[in-house]
Amino acid sequence: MPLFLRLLDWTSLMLFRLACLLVAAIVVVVTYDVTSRNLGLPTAVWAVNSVEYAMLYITFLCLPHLVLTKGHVCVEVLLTYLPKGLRRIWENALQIVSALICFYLTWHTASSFFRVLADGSYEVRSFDAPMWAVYLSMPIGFGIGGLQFLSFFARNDSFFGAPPDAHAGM
Amino acid sequence: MMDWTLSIAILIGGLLFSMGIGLPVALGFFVINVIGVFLFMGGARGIDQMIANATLAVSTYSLAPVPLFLVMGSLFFHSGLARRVLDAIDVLIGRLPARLSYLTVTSGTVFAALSGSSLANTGMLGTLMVPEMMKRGYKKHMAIGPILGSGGLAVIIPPSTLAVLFGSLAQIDIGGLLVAGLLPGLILACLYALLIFVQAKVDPEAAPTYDYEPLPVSLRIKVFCRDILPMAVIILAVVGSILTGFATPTESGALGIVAVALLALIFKALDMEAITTAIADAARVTGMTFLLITASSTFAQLWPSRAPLRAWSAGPPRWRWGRPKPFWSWRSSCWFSACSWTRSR
Repeated sequence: MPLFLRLLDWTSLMLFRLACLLVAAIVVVVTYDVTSRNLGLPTAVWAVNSVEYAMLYITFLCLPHLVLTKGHVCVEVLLTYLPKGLRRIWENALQIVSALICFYLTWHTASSFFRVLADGSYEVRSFDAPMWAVYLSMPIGFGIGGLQFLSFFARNDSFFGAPPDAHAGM
Repeated sequence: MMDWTLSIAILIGGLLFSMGIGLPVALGFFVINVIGVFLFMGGARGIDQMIANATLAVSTYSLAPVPLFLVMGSLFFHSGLARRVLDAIDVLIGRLPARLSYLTVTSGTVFAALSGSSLANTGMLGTLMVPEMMKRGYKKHMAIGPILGSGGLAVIIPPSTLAVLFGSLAQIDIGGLLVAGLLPGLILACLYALLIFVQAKVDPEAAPTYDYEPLPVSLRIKVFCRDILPMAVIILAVVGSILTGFATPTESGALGIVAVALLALIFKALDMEAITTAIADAARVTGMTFLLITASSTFAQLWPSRAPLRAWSAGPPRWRWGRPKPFWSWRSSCWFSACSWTRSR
């Protein structure tokens, strides 16, 4: 496998593992929150907002790995009725369109990220979170996700036609 | 100013078209969002607003039960507790016509109350039960029907991940919504069992009876107390804690994970592989679901910007082709007006 594909897959996997760590962290933080409140231990005032930001990060950190493992949901009724040759062309076109959407969103989310980084704005919740940290995961997720859509050409594979368990999370 | 019917046609039609051609659903939403933002929200400036709104869509604490219930359900399946419950129910059911169909419905109902994931529920039942039922000569509708029916019960019976999503998006009491699903879910399960009974009576060949030596009652009681009864801890931790007001739905998710982990530990079924697989599964489904929520909630925000529904409900009845307005159309207008008025109160 070419080096850039290995690097892309490795990056996607690392981002996904980071998302897994965040899921584990949510479990720990919420469990501590409910335990501390009921046992009269010092409560974590940052717990709620940390969980909220973690969920935002999970959404976009998982995106590239879900593209790689064909885990995003799509309606494949039309594809199943297309003749084999036309289906291949159709799938290729859809992969290019999907990549273009991802890159378009990468461009705009990255613009938002750099704008809030420059003006140094903060989001005020139970603790002040810099806005760049709120936006950070979006361009990363969309950007690498878009590259993963294009990588199917290099792999001579297709995003479509995944087995049902790819969507079931099993 | 664009007519509201045209804006609806662009938004809904565009969405159906993008889904229909096979574009990933979340990306299809994003495409229509971008088009909608350019048409109705002032172009590029609207895109920045859309991105800002997207960050808010999933950074909401009311959605926190989703990953928690997913971890709980996945840990329940991967630790082997689910298999243990299934085997125990198999022993308890005894000799019955269509016993494997009953086993599927009973297990599906119990799994629904213990896992919250209809995907995992259906997947597990399908993997374990279909080969066995086919081997025993069950007809397809008696094998796959109970799996599809009872697998979907996890959508209704608490802890339902879908109920959490719905409650969060509709901004209604999630705890109340979860508890409200308990009785309808159980009624549905009973109706499935009734349907199997009728089917087995009408067409006994659809689910052939096979030789099965039932265990003595004392042994069955022992199996029930050892393998089924302890699972009540999970239901108590999740549904009980919400019902008694001890915990919020988010906290009940965390308590559910602790309960499953403790039970798996007691049954010596908790290992690192089960934990990591459960977390990875939960992350995968959470990522997929939350991206859909991010995209669809932004889509929903396009509607008030053009107020198409308000125009639909409050606007004077118009019949463009000059024919008299039919009764059903007037009724639906009134219904939408009533909904709009109720929401605005």
